[in-house]
Amino acid sequence: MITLYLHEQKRGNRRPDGMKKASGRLQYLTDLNQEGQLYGAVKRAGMPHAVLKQVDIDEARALPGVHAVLTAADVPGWNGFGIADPNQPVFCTDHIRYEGDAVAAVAADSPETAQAALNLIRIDAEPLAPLDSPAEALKPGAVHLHPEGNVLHTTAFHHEDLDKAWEHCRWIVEETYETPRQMHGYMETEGGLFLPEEDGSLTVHAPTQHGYKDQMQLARILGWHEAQIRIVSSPIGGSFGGKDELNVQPYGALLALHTGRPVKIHQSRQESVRAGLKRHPMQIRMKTGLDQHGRIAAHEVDILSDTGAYATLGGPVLQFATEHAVGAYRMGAVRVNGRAVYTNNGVAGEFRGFGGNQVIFALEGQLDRLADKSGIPPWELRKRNLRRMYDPGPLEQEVAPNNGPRDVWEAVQRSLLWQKPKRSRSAEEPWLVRGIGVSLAMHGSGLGYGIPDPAGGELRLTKDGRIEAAFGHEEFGQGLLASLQEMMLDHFHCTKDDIRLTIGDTSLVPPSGSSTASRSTNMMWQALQRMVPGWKKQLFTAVQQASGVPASRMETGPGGIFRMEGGTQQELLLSYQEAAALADITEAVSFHFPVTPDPIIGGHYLYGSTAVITEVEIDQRTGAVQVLEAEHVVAAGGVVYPIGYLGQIEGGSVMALGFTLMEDTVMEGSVCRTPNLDTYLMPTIQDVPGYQPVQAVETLPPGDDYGPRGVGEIGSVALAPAIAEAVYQASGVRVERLPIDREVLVDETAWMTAAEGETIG
Amino acid sequence: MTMTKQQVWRPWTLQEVVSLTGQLDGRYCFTAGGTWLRTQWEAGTLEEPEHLIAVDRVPELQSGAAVQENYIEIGAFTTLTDVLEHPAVLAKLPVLVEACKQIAAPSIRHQATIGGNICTRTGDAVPALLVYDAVLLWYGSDGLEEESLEAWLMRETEEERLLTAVRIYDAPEEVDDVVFALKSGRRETFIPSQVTVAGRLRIDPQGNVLAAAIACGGGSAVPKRMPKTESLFCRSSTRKLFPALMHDEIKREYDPPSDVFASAEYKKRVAANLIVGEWYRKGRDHAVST
Repeated sequence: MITLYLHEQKRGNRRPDGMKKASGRLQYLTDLNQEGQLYGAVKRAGMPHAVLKQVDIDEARALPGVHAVLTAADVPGWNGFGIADPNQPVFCTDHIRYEGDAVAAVAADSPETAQAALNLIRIDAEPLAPLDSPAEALKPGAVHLHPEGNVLHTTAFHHEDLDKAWEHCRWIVEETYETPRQMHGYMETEGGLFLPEEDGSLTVHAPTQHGYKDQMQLARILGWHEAQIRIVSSPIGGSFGGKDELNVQPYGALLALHTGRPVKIHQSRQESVRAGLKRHPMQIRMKTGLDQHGRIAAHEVDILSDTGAYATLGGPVLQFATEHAVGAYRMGAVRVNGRAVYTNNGVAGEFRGFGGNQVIFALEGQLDRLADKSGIPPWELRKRNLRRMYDPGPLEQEVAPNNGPRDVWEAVQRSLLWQKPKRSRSAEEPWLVRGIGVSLAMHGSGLGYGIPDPAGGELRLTKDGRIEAAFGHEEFGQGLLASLQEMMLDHFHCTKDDIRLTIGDTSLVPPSGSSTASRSTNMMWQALQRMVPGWKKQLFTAVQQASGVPASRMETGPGGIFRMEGGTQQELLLSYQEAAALADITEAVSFHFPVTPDPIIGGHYLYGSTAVITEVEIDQRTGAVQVLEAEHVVAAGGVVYPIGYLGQIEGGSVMALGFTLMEDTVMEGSVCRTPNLDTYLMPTIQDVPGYQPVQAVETLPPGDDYGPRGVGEIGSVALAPAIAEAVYQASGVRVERLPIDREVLVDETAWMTAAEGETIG
Repeated sequence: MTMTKQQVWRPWTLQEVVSLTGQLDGRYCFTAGGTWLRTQWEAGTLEEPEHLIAVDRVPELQSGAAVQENYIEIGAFTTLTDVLEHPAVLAKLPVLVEACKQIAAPSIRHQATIGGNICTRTGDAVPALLVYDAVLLWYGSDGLEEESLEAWLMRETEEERLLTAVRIYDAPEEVDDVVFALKSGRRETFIPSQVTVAGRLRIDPQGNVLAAAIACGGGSAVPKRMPKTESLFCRSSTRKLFPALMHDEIKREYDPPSDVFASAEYKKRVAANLIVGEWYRKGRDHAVST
């Protein structure tokens, strides 16, 4: 059960895509088929590290039913992709860098024949020792995975004199934290349908979080103009960052153009696990000191990020982690150094939370350990160090005034869960111990300084009388359409039937930037703020000419434009369809996500804040941890769509629970040992808390007109440290590694001692 | 062509089964629910056989449970769901009921059979059947044969016979005083077992243990009875639990292998904890009632 507490009761319309999704009737892009289609399949290296000598495709090509077998020689443009740095080859030429590296692709009459052809492709390669950890990859003499070496990106942030600051510290805690290689685990694995059109263009039906970026990347691979490629990219069966980067699109596009036939590709779960992106495993060393007043006087951080074989967004993720290693706290002196290191461990990339989840686990862990050491209660310690409304941001950059961290802190004080005893042991079953933990975090929205973060949209009145909002954003289950619908209804006071929402097709929508980084809701809100007045002015001027009623006395309403008097709606002047016949009413806008004026790479300007209280129960017979309740407080501006808001926080929370308790792509020698969902474990309904209340703090600082911040990520960033603290309260065991190892929590001595006193004697 | 075509056979009689297996000379595999076979094929840990023999039409292999004068018989083809719904099983075999409830998920239990679970040798129903001294009924070239489950598990030969039913002669007239089947995996449900324990204890009103049957398994460990632990129980009383002593004995006796996700030491401790936990429960009840 989940409940959302709001300051006012809000209307919530049914989400436009809800019924079709719940009933299973929605056709996803990977459900599409076209008559005469061929089936595409990709030959993956199947070995983590090797010198590639030759790929022999002759036998595969000769197999009846096979229409094309392509390798690097068949890529007409740039043989590579990657949002930030296109250094992942479409097809390997000389160096195999991970198990999922592609060496060839096949198009055949049936999936079985395509698979048979893959089995006939022979890879002649000389195995190299896998670089299975950043430490291995950093060793002198390690094979270079890329021309620049094995370090993708470094970050360094310094503030004040850290070496001196230790002198003022009364309590110091130093710890190294490790986080898992979490998988997105979307229900729909990567795939799509690729159609060569009669005019020589190409239509791609494949999920992505940024259709225009795919268009650009595919054009670069094909050596085409972007306008020759149409990307249809929504609806999507889940992404969480995992489909932000290209996956099967290069192969589908090349095979379709080569054969002149429609090509369908859809990856199996095992191929998805081995080839797809994961969350960056990070090793984070933190040394943090408190002065005698309980203020953080010194904070030193080293982040070592396993970025896997290719760049994708490994650099920006590290940037984000660097900023959030300071987070919502004001500190005396700070030094943060980060390194993202290439290894042969798959490919790590964009994932909900974007590097925040890892460092927030570490940072909040430090606060809890310092609280223990100093005797200052953990929640009080946080208060003493939280930023104030007009303080600079974590990288000392100018940020929008922000009181979110203090707002969520206050809300926790009022929580009933937080007032429960911090630990207890069951009398009937002495092996069951309970504990309560709390954590706090701030999370940046948008991509940050120095990264292009464009936004835009279009409003049109269609000839059939609909107010159409067109955005280059994507719907991957996060409820974007529902939020957009709510905002449109607020602006136009019309009915759902009067509006049309158009997204996810480059032939129909303007560029709006990516649907990532908790930015889409905010960008649509801002775009509408900018477009609606001008659009209404155009509309009312046209209606004034037709009706004689002054434009200043008009407002949109159900079905059309109404005359207004004293703020109340009078008679209908014209229907939307009638108005559409008068003139072309279109308003477009493009702008940039609000960004800090200070030139600090990766620094954010807008943030959401959150606090999470959780109660866990540990079974000391097995070490199993059950999260009984997780209460989230979120300060991210106004709630646009209550059910969607709740869904994002609940979903993010469950994902974070998996990150904390069970999810990890286990690699041995850079070979994946958890290739399917029976070994890579995600939480089931029985693993998640029965009750997850969400409290929304909707107030923004005076004068803040940036609108609602997105909440796509914030539900996932702060649960792990709250669970870790609750586990400590319950058992006395401090956890530095995720997912939590049950072996460290088994404790027969504790429960048998407790039991003894009670029953024997 | 490298594509393989699989042939599925559906014989009508046991005689046909025998002649088929003779003809196919090891290139076949029997299938019942097929849930575990599919899992292994997909994971690449088992090669798909050329011939699949589905024996669901053979009258001797029908599903269901029957109560006879001195035993309960459960057909090998009984789905786990049907096991869980059968009145005789519910009334007489609570350890088996508890064990079956924890296997996989409802959709799998609708398809998976008790026979299939036994034939994997490591199924979660096996420890429960062991504590009932279950007997297996096989059909092979020599006709029908009976063999105790415990003896069969100890043999490591490749099985060519067909399991037709499992019999429990020791179905207790009255419910045991302590019964349990507990499973621990890496999450709460729909999860392969790391440790599975099952047990039955008969205890007199003074708290003295009259009889004990305990079995442990889980993961890739073939489940086994724990005679030393049982003997320690038989010398014990709920008036004085000695949990640490019991714990040590179980850890000494149970010897599971390590795997990617858990060490042998962890599995030993969990097995000991689960069993001693049930013992503690009984002791506590005893203390409360006296």
